[in-house]
This record gives sequence, C-alpha cells and structure tokens, in this order.
Amino acid sequence: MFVSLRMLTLPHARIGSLHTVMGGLRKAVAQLPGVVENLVVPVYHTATINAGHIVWRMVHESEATANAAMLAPAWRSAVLPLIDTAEVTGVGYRLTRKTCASAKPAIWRALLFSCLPHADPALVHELEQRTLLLPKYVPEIRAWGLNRAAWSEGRKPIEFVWEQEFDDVAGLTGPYMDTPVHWGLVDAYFDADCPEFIVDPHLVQVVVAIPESVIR
Amino acid sequence: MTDPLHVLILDEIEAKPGMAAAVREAYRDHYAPGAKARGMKLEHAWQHPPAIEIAEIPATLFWLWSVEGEHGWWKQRLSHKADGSDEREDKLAFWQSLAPLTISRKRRMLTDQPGGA
Repeated sequence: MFVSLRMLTLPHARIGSLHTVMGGLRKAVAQLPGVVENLVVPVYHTATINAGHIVWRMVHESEATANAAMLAPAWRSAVLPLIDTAEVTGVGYRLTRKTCASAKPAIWRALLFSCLPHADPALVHELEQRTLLLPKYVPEIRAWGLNRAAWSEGRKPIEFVWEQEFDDVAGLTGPYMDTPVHWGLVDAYFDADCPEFIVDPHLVQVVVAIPESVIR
Repeated sequence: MTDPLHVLILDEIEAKPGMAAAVREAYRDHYAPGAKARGMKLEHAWQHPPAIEIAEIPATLFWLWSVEGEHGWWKQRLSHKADGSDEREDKLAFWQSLAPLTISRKRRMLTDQPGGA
C-alpha cells in the first residue's frame, strides 16, 4: 500500500470554510481512481507543530496508482480548486515497516522529519533503530509505522514518516514523552545540545482523532 | 506520590592540546548561564588530567548537570527564547563555536542504578 498524506493550511480568510473544504475533498476523492482509503479530518487542537488545519490521508494500491490519481481529470476539476489557496505539506510513502493495532485506537499522530544534508548515514541508521525501540517500551503505542518518503512537497523536504496510534492523546503526552527511551536515547538526534544532532529543526507533528485504525 | 526522577546530564568534552582553558572559559561564559536559565542545576565540573594543565596532550573536561523529573528534562530541551522562538539555533551555534577547540564530545543522560550504589 502507498500513502499520500497532505496537511492543508488554509489562508486566514478561509478558515471559516474548513468543513466545506473537508466535505468537498471527500466528494472529490470519490471521483479519483485507485483510492483504497480516504481520511479527511481537522487537525487536533493540541500537541501539533506546523500541522495546519486539515489532514488528508489517502491510501492507494501502489505508488503508480497514487500518481495516476493526481493525473486524473477529477484532480484538476474537483481537487485543485479546493486546495489552490492552501499551503500544502505533503508526503508519499510505502507503508511497509509497521505494526497494526489489535484494538481500536482513537488518536493518530505523525512526526514528519528530515535529516540535515551532512548527516552521517551511520547516525541516521542509529536514529531509525532507536526509534523502533519506542513501540516495544511504550505499550500505549497501539500501532506504528516508520517509513521513508518517496516524495514530498511543501516548505521543506520530508525524509521520514513516524506515525503511531494511541487510545487517547494522553498516551502521547504522557507515556510516550516520559519514557527514558525517548528522552534518554532517541531525542539526542533531535537535540542541538547533543553531538548526535542530525534532524532538521523544522518538524511537522500532526495529531488527529480517527474513527478506526489507519495504520493497516 | 513518588519523588520525580533525578536525571543527570553529563557533558564530556575532549579539548585539543593546550585548549582546555579556552574550552572551560567558553563553556562557563557562553553555555552555563543559558543552561541554568533553562532550569539545569550544575552539580560538578571535573577534569582529566587531574589538578594540572599539560599543554602537550588533550584534556577531558566533564560537567554534570541535574534536572528534576521528565518534566524538568523536557523544559530544558524544549526551551524558547524571550521572543518565543526555538532556542535550538543558539544551542547549535555555541557547540559549533566550540568545535575548533575540541577533539570530541559526548552528552549522556544518567540516573541512579536500580537497587542503589
């Protein structure tokens, strides 16, 4: 499966039309070929960074069908008019390195980040391996995926999509932040005080409420 | 209610031969004040070789800080400047300014061992 994830930041004058835009996107996606799943939801009101107003997450059968959707006539006629004034932060990725939920999480969170151009590949590998320790030591993470971007669009390049699902936002703000695996190991790559620092400070952290698990 | 975790932050910096005094001065004058403002408490500062300056060989300098609890740790980590912007660029600028004087450095987060000493 291939995911195309977009965060839309509406211009100030259009924030009042948030639900109209979301409804329009849901209808427009129905006209696109090869879309397996579609989630269009408002960004959660807390615990977000550079996330904008709307999360739009489509799942396609493959990267080729994701590309075909963007080339379909309905993309130009139905999708673009809805998002043409929005700032779009987007990333496409294969959802392959993942563990799915056995229960029904209610919160999906993603951290989108990239490593600095001079980053030592060995440190990038270390960052990935240490991040993968988090689901083992934070049982509140019900489902997760850590995948590399195939493409990205927006203000800065995106290299990694680290997404998780929780039963509630307290799982993110509590156990996820409090585990020593996070502050004692993984965070060094994000921390300018540590020599391991390799992650571009421009992060996107997005949280949304979900009706069912989307990491599948 | 349990006491917050006592978290130690240990900086270990290997100064180039003859540069130990310059590293100490830079750290004291340009790093320590900001760290204290972020809630870090300086517990100790040590050096090796002990009790002597030997200009011909590298010297290793240690600074041990503490913060109280995970909250205290994240407070220093996610600090902001007075204008509300991220302080990471300033932190990075300090470490980059120190780099020409040093061979290597480490920062490690520490806690007491389980079961006591």
